[in-house]
Amino acid sequence: MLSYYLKLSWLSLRKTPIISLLMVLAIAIGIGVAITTLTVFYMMSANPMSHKADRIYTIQFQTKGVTNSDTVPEQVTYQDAMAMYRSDLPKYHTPMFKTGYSIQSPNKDIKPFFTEARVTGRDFFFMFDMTFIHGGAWDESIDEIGTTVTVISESLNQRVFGGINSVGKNILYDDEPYTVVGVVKDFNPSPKFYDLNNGNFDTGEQIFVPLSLAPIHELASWGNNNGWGGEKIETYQQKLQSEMMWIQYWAEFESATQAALFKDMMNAYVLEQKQLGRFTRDDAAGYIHTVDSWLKEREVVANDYSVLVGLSFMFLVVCLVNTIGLLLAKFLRRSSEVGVRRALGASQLEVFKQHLVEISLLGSFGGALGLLFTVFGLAGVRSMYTSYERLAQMDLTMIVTAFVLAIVSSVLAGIYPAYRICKTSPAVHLKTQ
Amino acid sequence: MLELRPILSAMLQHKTRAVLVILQMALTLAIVSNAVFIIDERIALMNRETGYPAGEIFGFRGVNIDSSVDMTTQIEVDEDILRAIPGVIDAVVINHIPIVGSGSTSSWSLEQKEGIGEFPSGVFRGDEHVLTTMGVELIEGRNFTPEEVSSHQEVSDSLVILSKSLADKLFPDGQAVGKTIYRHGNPSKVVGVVKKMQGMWVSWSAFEDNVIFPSNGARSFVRYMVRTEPERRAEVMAQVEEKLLASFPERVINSIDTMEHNIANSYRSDNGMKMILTVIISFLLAVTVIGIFGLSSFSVNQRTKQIGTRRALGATKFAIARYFLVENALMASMGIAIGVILAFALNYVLVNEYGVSKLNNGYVLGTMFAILTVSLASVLVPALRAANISPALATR
Repeated sequence: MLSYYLKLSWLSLRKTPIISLLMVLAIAIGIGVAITTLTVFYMMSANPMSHKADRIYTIQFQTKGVTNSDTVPEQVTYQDAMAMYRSDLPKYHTPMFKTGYSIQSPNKDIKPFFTEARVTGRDFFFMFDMTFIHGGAWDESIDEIGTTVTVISESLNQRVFGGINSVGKNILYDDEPYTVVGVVKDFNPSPKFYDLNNGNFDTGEQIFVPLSLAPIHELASWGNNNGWGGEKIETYQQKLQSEMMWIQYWAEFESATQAALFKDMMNAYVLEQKQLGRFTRDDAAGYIHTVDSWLKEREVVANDYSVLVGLSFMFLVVCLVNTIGLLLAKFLRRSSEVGVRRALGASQLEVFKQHLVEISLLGSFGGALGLLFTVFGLAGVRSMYTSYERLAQMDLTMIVTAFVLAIVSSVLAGIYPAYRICKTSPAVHLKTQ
Repeated sequence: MLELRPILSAMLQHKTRAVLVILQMALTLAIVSNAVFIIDERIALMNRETGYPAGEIFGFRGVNIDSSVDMTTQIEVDEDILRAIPGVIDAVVINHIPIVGSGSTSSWSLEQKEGIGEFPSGVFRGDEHVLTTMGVELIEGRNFTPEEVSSHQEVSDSLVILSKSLADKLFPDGQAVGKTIYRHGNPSKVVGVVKKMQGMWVSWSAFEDNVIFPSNGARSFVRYMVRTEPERRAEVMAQVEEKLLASFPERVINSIDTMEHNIANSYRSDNGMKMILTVIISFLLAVTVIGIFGLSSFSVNQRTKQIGTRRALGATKFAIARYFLVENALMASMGIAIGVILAFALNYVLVNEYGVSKLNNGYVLGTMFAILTVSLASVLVPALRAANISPALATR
């Protein structure tokens, strides 16, 4: 029966081409707008570490003075991060921050350029499952005593060395030679969850240097540096010992229980600092966040975006209300034909089913056209918000969602018109000729 | 004359169609009035007067290849080179270029005390050429003298120029000049007030509250701001890299951008929101037209016999057309009434959950008229077609 109904539906759609086209268009526009905004929203709310959801954590400390605002700082001080670094509870952990260098290739034909760098311990590579193409992370001893080694990304390796295995070669950072110990695949999580301070969806850094080098080379922080105490900070050493907050800290634990133990340790640390007179607030405390709760805390999905998704779904509802009207118009026009079919023995249920098939067919066409509109919509979003380049991309989930949404919403819209038409009394239509 | 009762009773017999049209118009009113309101808000945000002659200003950066080099004397040389370029009104080394989305902030208090002050502000640092380079208008007090400029913070930060927006917040009764304000207990005497000076982040509540310290301290990451005669800006922009590299080549000069470019960049997401909402509104109105046109055409078709009968009984073509127009206007009014409630309900949600401002009644009124017009326009063709139905149909 299904293929018969499909054939009937197709013939019926062709008989009233304009109304059919209008309906497909209405559904397609509604789907196009809704899926475009939904795709960006979905990509914005992604959790790049969902496979390690309750094992990776970051920390916050409420360390500000008593007279300061109540917001908990987004970053931690160097001394607090290093204090946590001494714990052996985490499986992997490291404090980190962002700096930058001028890069000079040994190949003098390549002009010097600037790039950001992540200053971190070697655990960064393992915690975040990065893949090495050549070499590996620097030796553990280097995390104790810094030497000028570096890990570079595949893209940077291509740009500076032409893509060869550059392990052992030197590269000049700010006129100082660093030895490449590893080349790693580009790491661009979206959002850039491990450092949300200067651009939630920025690409990741291309070079990595050991954290232990920071005090030796006095590496400047290219990220946010927040202070609340009005301290006089004129030397790098003073900055390291100060209450300025410019460090991020991430840890991976074997299990959530280990994380809980770490939290207890943080609480003990807070008490200790209170007794030493350093943390003066009554509500001084430590906090840990999974990637998921961190992304929510930092409000990575802009309010504007949630508003747009809401409005576009309301728009879809308007399109569907339209579709109901047009479907009613279309079906009821052919009441006489349905009357004849009923008279010939078709039950109300069969008529209902037949029309649902027709609606589903319409929905599929609407979904297909809607997908095309979505492609254009996403291209439009990419051109307007260049930093959302990676967000405004279709993936399989969204394609399937588009079709399912189109068919489900069309069927919902069509239930009432199909019901009305199946109630057609055969007698009335047989009479009037 | 208006045949309201027959129209109403006819509508009640075909409830579904009426409900659909009313619902559609209500939703459209709710969405469009809020969307237009948000768009207008963003436009107003983007049109705020910056306080700068944006067409005359550009900024750029010089980043040293070796970040340990001391730039203290070089930046003075750089400033002289820039000021000597023909077409340049003034140039200055500054800590942050305005309206770029990165900068420094501080907070102020009227009392000498510890802790964060109640008045946040952006912080600019540059020598006595900052005011002319920015092109801002000094309305009270005076500029810094060259002797007051220092690379040591205790000296430079003891004097400050404020923007009027900040001065009014600190001293609502006026007369800021000569008073002292405090930052973490450190005093700064107010030397002058500038009429308007936008700062670093367009969406920050203290965007227009800024201070200037007379400083000429240097770092390896140097930012420059240049003001030129309006027609000569492009010409000057083309020369800065060459001239500065000739003096000190071990650096990269980049990000040479006009102030308008930086401003447009800062408002990118507001602009994007504006455009997406405009697209949604246009589609919404298009879909409404399609819907009303379709439903009215269908309705006319259903009632062909009745129309023919009325014509046979003596109704004029005009009367037939008018019937449909009035019917549509009735449904539109009901849709609008519901729509007004929905519009404010939607706005309530947006205000509480998403930080949008409260809807202005004018937008609802304006949208009401727009929807009324659009719906009447959509029903016009079907109404005219109805009017042309031959009375002969009644006798068949």
